[in-house]
Amino acid sequence: MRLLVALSVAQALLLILFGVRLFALDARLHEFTNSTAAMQVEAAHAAKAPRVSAAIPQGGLSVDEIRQVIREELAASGERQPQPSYQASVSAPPVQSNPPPSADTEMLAKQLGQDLDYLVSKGSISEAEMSEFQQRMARLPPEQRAQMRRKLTKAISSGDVEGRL
Amino acid sequence: MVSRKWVMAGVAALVSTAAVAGYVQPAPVSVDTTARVALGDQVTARYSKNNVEFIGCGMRHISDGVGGIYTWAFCQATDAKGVQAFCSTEDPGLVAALASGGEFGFITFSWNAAEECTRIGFSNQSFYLPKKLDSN
Repeated sequence: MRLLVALSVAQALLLILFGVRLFALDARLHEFTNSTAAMQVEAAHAAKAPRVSAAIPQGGLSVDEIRQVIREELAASGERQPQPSYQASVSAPPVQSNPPPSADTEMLAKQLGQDLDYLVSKGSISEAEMSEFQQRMARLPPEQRAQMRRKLTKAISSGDVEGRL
Repeated sequence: MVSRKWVMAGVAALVSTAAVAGYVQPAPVSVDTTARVALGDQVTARYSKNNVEFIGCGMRHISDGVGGIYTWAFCQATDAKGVQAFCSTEDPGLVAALASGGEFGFITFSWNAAEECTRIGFSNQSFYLPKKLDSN
């Protein structure tokens, strides 16, 4: 019972607060209405004032003329500022500068393969091991790198290596 | 104007408000290894009543040591039964799509027999947001 009374009191207080806020809002609404009316009067005055227009015919521009102006402006804008390619706007494409396969990269690929086999036999891969593996993998030529990535992916997806990237 | 306010206040006093929080559409993680599709939303996975369910995608940008950057992306998921999926890709289009993924969203991805990601989808909707962001 006491709880209900307390709740009722709280509700009444909130209602009073709500009413006060409502009055304040109402006052602000009046202010806003008055200022809007004043702006409308100013706008009406401005519309009556003579306008300065550059080379616009008396009857206004036709749709074709407007299109022509837009085309010219777009062409001029394109000349001033070269448009970035779609690819560049989405994301910078990965820079591929790796050397072609060589004896060194073959050796690296072989070592990485052995490392991965070791990790599979261990059953898990730590964050440090993963980081080192990926950094060495990045030095491979694209084709060998993709092969190594697939091997790593297969090891993780099959559950042979437990590791969350 | 004043009477309208009092009417509104009266209505407010009489009407009890129910606590609503908008439409919600939880999507538990689902991994279909036959169809090679995984999906689910991150919030449902994170607050699921098990400790295995998760879904997410990520990227790695690694210096190749000779002035280039090697970028690859991956998606991974495990459903409540422990069925897991993991795929990766170097495809620039998929990597770019992955970069657009947001927080708390729905994720879906597909892969081929070689575990190459073939499809990555994100959906960032209010109905995937957690109940209260500050209560995480």
